[in-house]
Parts: sequence; C-alpha cells; structure tokens
Amino acid sequence: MSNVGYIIAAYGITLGALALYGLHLWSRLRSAEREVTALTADGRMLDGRR
Amino acid sequence: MAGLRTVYLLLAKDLLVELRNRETFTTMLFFGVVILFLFHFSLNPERENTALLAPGLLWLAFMFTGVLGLGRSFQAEQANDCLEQLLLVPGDRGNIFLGKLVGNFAFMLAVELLIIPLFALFFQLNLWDALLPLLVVAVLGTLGFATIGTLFSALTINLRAREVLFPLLLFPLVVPVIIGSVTATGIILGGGTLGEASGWLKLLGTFDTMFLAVAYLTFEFVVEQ
Amino acid sequence: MIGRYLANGLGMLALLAVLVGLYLAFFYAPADALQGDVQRIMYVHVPTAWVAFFAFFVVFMSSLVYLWKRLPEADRLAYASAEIGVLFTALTLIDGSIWGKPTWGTWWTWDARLTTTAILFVIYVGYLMLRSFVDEPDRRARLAALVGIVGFIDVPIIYMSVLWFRTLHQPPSIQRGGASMPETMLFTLLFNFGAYTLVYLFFLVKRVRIESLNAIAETLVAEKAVHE
Repeated sequence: MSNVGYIIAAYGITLGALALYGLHLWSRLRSAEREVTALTADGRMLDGRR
Repeated sequence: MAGLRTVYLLLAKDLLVELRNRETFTTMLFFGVVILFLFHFSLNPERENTALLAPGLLWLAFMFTGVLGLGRSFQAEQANDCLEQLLLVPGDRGNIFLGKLVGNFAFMLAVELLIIPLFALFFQLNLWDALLPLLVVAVLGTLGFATIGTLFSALTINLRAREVLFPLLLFPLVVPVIIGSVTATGIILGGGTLGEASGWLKLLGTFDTMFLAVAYLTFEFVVEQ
Repeated sequence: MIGRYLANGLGMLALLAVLVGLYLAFFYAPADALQGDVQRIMYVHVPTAWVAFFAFFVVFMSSLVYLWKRLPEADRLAYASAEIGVLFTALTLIDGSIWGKPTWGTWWTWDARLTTTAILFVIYVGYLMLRSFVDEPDRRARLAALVGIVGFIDVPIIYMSVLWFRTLHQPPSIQRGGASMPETMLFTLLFNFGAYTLVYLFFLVKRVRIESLNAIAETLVAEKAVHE
C-alpha cells in the first residue's frame, strides 16, 4: 500500500464516518420532529408508535 | 464520633456475617487457586521467564478474585432491602462507604495473603525475603482497587447485566493501580528495595488518597433513593 | 435554546471550516521532512483526539451540573457529548493506527497518548452501556453522572501512569513533531482544531435537540395515556 493509500484511508474513513453520523442525526431529528408534531396536532395517540 | 461508629458497626456486621458462613472468602480463595492453575496451563512458565511474568500474574490473580468479592459486596444489603434501612442511619452516607470499603479491603487482603504462598509454591519462587515490601505494595494496590470497586459495586447493584457491567466500568479506571502495583512488585521481586519503587508507591498513594476522597464524597449520590 | 437557523448556520460554518482545513492540510502545509506526505494525517488525527477528550470534559461538567441542579438538560448534554465523543475517540484510534503503519511499521503502538485514548474509549463505552441498562430517567442520569465524573478525574492519572510505564519499558525513540513546527504546519493544525471542534458543536446541538424532542414526545404520550 503506497503512502497515498494511507492518507486516503485516514481522511476517507474520518470524513465518511462524520458525514454518516451527520446524516444519522438528521434522520433522527426529522422523525423526532414528526412525532412531536403528530402528537400535538391531533388528539389521538398513534398506536404502535411511541 | 457518630460517623466512626457507623463505620465500625457496618464493618463488624460484615465480618461477623462472613465469619459465620465464609461464603465470599472461600469462593474467592478457591477461585484464586483455579486462576493460578490456569496460568500454569496457559502460559507454562519456565524457570527463566517466571520471574518476568510473576508480578503481572500475581496481580491478575489478585484482581480477578477481587472483582469476585467486590461484586458481591452490596448483595447482602440488596437482598432484604437492608440498604434502605442502612440509609436511615443519621450522618454522612460516606461512612457507609467507608464501612464497606474496610470490609472489602480486609477480605481482599486476607485472600491475597493466602494466594502469595500458593503462588510461590506453584511457580517455585522464593518470595519470603521480599515478603514485607511485597505486603506494602499489596496494601496500597488493593486499597486503590477496593476503593473504586466498592463505589462501583454500589453503583451497579440493581442493574441488569451487573456481572458484566461492573468489571467493564472498574478495570479501565484502575489502570494506574495495575501499572503501579505490578511495576513496584517487579522491582521488589527483582531484589529492589521499597525506596527504589518509591515513585510507583507514590503513584499508588496519590491514587488511593484522591479516590478515597472522591468516593467518600460521591457515595451519597450512588445510594440515593 | 439556539434557533434553528443559528444551528444550521453553525453546520454550514463547520462544513466550510473542514473544507478549508482540508485544503490547508494538503496544499498549504509542507510535507514533513522525515515522514513525507503521510504526516498530513496529523491534521485530522490530532484534532479528533482533542475533540474526543474535550467531549469527555463536557460530559464531566454537565454531569457535575446534573448532580448539583438535577436539570434534565444537563443529562441530555452529557449523553449527547458522550455519544459524539465515543465516535471521535474511535476515529482517533483508527487514524492513529493508519498513521502508525507507514511511520513506525506497526498498526498499533502502546505510546502513552494512543493507549490513554484507547482506555478513554472503553470508559465511554462503559458509560453508554450503563445508560442502556437503566430505564428510570432520574436514576439513569444520576448513575451515569457519577461514572462521568469519576472517569474524567481518572483520565489524567491514567495518562501519567501509562507515560511513566512507557519511559520504563521503551526509551523515547519516537520523536513527536520534532523540536518546533514550522508556522505553516502549526497554523494548519490549529485551523483544523477549530474546524473539527465546530463539527462537534454542531453535532452536539442537534443531538441534544433530538433528546429534548424525545423527552417532549414521552411527556405527550404519557399525558394522552392519562386522559384516556
């Protein structure tokens, strides 16, 4: 493995992982917001979902 | 002083219970023997490398048996909701911690005192000359280990997967104790004096003092109801 | 409460900073005299290490606040910082390992900083596992806070003991960064410190918001259950 490979691996993994985590947070935020909106909007509890 | 009385009573209670059935002590001791056997079969130490491996193996034996005893230390209180009764005692909750700590420390040390000669026997080492300095290291190291151990034992007492969680939380935090004890023991067994090991003893002493204080102060938050 | 726009603005800033930091790392800073280009990994490895430890400091502080004031917000902050912290710790270890192979010929080295980072990782994991085993929010917050506090106090002691252990078992043959770093390198390093700290802060804000929303949702669900 040439040294370029190491550099790409390090940066790739780091930035990739951070980006993935960011996406993960974004999707969790969306579903949390949706849930709260749903719970406050109508009076009914959504069965099967917390 | 009311605080000291709490410590004394708790300690006396634990010692009395243990003297009656000797459950924890005997289990720890025989577990220690099993560990020594495991060491022999898995490592098969020859004369030459026994000296190298001895300090580490000795402390591994101490710690694995220690985890066993520490893990159980609040079990008696948990069983019959005794802990709530204990908390009704007026005064600093930290004294409950101290009472437990001294008991745990005493048990661990007692087991270690029996493991040392067995270790010397199984691995054909002469530990007799170095016995007193060895005990000094054992006391300092065991105290540090038991301090964090008692605190976290109380912390994990009612949790699911306590048996796994307790060692997982404990071992990273006692790394300084491991390093200090094993290195100092290595110096002692190599014929050195306590003076030569003084740096490591200071490390152990600092750790012990610091976490004794931290544990004493934070124990009330651990046992809050 | 940070407004939505401020938080997203922070995210944009963080992204920009990371990109600029990348440019600096590859085009502005010179290659190392001894290690060559591989040394550029430092500009991501060292900042993530800093964030890993800083995040644990945040866990420590918010744990203290929680034990003192019993604010659920403090517990949420601790939890969020721990989650992000464990991610950055893992990345630090991975980057350190990747940097080590071409530099010192080995995927792992027991040098004091890497070893302490590995222990920190286990402490983080223990913290998160503890949280997952307690269901009652108050109890969970309290026990987690204790681990966060005791753990953090121990980290410097762990580092020192590992350092002394190292000097005993291996003479310091590995030079870290040499005597002084050329200014371009130092600037690049510091800039990237800032960039990844911004990333951490952005993640922190969003993660805390998720926990707050979850808490609100739980309260709403509980209220509805009472009314029915």
